[in-house]
Amino acid sequence: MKILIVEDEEVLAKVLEEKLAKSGDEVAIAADGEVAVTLAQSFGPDVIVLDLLLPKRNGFEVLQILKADQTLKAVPVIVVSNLGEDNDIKRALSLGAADYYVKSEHPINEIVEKIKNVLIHSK
Amino acid sequence: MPDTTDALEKEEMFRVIFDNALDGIILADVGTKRFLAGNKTMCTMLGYDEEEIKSLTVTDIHPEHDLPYALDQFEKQARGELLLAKDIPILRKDGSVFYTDVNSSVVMIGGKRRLLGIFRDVTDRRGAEIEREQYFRFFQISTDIMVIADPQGCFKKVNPACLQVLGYSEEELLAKPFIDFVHPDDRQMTRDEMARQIRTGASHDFENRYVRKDGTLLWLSWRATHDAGEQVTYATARDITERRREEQKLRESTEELKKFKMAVEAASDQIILTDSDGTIIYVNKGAESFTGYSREETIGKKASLWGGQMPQGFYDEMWKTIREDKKPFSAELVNRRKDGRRYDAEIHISPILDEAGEVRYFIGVERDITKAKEIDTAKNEFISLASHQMRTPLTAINWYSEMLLGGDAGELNAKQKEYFNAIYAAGQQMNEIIKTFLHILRLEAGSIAMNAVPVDLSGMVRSTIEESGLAIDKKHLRVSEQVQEALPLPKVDPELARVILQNLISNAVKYTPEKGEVTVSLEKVAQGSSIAGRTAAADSVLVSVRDTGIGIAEADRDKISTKFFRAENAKTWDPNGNGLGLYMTDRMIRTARGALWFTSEVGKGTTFYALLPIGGE
Repeated sequence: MKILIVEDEEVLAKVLEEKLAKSGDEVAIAADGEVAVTLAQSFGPDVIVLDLLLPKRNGFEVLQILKADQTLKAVPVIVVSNLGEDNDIKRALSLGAADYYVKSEHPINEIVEKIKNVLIHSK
Repeated sequence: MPDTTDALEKEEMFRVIFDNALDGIILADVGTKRFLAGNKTMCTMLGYDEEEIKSLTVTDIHPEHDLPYALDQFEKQARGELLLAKDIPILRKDGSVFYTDVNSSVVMIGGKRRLLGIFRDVTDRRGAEIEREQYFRFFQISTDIMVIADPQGCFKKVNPACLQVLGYSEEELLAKPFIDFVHPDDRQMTRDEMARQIRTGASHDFENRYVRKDGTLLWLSWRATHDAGEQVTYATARDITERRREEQKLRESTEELKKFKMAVEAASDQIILTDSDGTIIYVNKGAESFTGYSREETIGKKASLWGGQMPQGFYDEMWKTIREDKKPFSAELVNRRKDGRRYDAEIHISPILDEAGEVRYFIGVERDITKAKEIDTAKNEFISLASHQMRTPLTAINWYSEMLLGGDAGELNAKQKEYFNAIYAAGQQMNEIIKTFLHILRLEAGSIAMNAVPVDLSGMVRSTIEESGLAIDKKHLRVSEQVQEALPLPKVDPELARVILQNLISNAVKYTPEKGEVTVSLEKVAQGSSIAGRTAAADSVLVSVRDTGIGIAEADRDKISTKFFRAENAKTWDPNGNGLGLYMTDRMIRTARGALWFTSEVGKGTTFYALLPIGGE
């Protein structure tokens, strides 16, 4: 399974990558909002883990573009961000995000578990 | 022949003397008191002719009222005891009265005793005397001071008012130059005035201070005339101490009023005064720089001139409060300047009532808080940003320690596990703090979307208790829930309710020692009923969280809900608390228009009470 991680903080992207790659899935990392879209189109992931605070183009915009793209709109997007205000969550969900996690409030294992579940269900 | 001529001449001489003497002369018989002769002057004085006089007696020529006295004087004169009788009243033929001095001598004529009386009309003198009496009475009874001063500067004569007002005796006042009684500071001024008065002859409205005998001061206002011939000064003075005191008071109150006026004028806030209709009658200087409208443009208009930016309900409530409820109204609002620019302001309007309790004026103070709001917004934005930014490194701490502890980097020895646990715990703690910061920020910004919906508190309590499951099991606490039957669902923001319950329950769990008890009760309370010392302001649901924990000391009672406060016993029990939990809970309950309070006994336990209105507000 292919997992695209959109995360600008290298330190955190590494953790996601390590955990997700363990089970043999292929992992790609996009460090900004522009690469996120191009990489999504070329990499063809089965699930996208999306941060919101990104350079060049923020996560909400990326989400909009992804969901407007014919080939990509079916790919489940899990927002994993440190923005945690009600309206942020509402906005992401209304733009089509499948789920929303505030990074600092969830153990990495829990997030990884959820991503794996989504993968399984999307098969 | 020569003897007779001599004798005739002598008789004529005596006759002429008798008749032409300018005083009245009467010869009277001592025994019968009958008049034997009276001269022409006496006739003129009395109004009788010479023959008529011979038929009169002493009793006929005195007013009846004075008769006893007159007769008494006559007798004395007849006995030779008295020569001059003064001021004897004489009755004329026509009934009018005049006054005489009577000089008398006893004479023997033809062997008989006669009384010779010389009458001098002293009516004029008496008139003058009576007048003098009158003037003297004036002098005596006047309440103004009247004095006569000599060229040496001493009082020659002082009236009783002078003694009374100054408190000295007459001897004392006359003994020294009067300048000695003048206040030292006024002496030179007084000397100058005296000199001027002697030159010009008069002095009007000269005021100076005198020192009374008892040491007190008084102000006198003088009028004086200098008599150059006699070289004395006649002066009269009035005590104006009271008047001067009143003038001083008036000056002082005018000064004060001026100060008030200056203060109001110069205040950097805008201050307006309107009548009971809201028509502006006064506006201070600050107003112009605020609203852009000059004073002339503002007076006579209503404050809506620079208002009208808020929803109508805002103004309705304002008028209701100040006009109907007659209470002060404070609020933040947006106004609009003359040039159209909007600005944030804080207004405080108070009604001013008359004795009947009716509104007479409104006084409004307006403060431009644009700057303050900008600072506040910037501060909140900064805190928000910082809090969010802190989450990134925090996530790293959490995840890496989680991975280490999970063995992802290899098996850990006991020590390593211990240390990484410590790091992980710290990360969790920081997470809590950040969450709390952001919560408070949202509370203060009023941006907690208060969507009050009916909330199943009972279910929420159960899930909250579950969240603390680990801690409860570890300490072997007995936690129970008591829910009243048919408990209504209060309308409250669910997130608010959850945070409140989480805080109260986690506190109870945290501060209760092993094998202790925590009981959470939910019940309905009616408006007006009283629970543990408080009265419910509306129909509410009461959440009570009772524990058998360490309790809250009396001294800490008032501070327990303040920002960052931690009681000593709490710090000892759990050094890691941040002191924000209760502060936030308290604020949240207030946002929900409820109330939070507690009862406690150190070492025995605490019960927290949270009242949540069922209606929501």
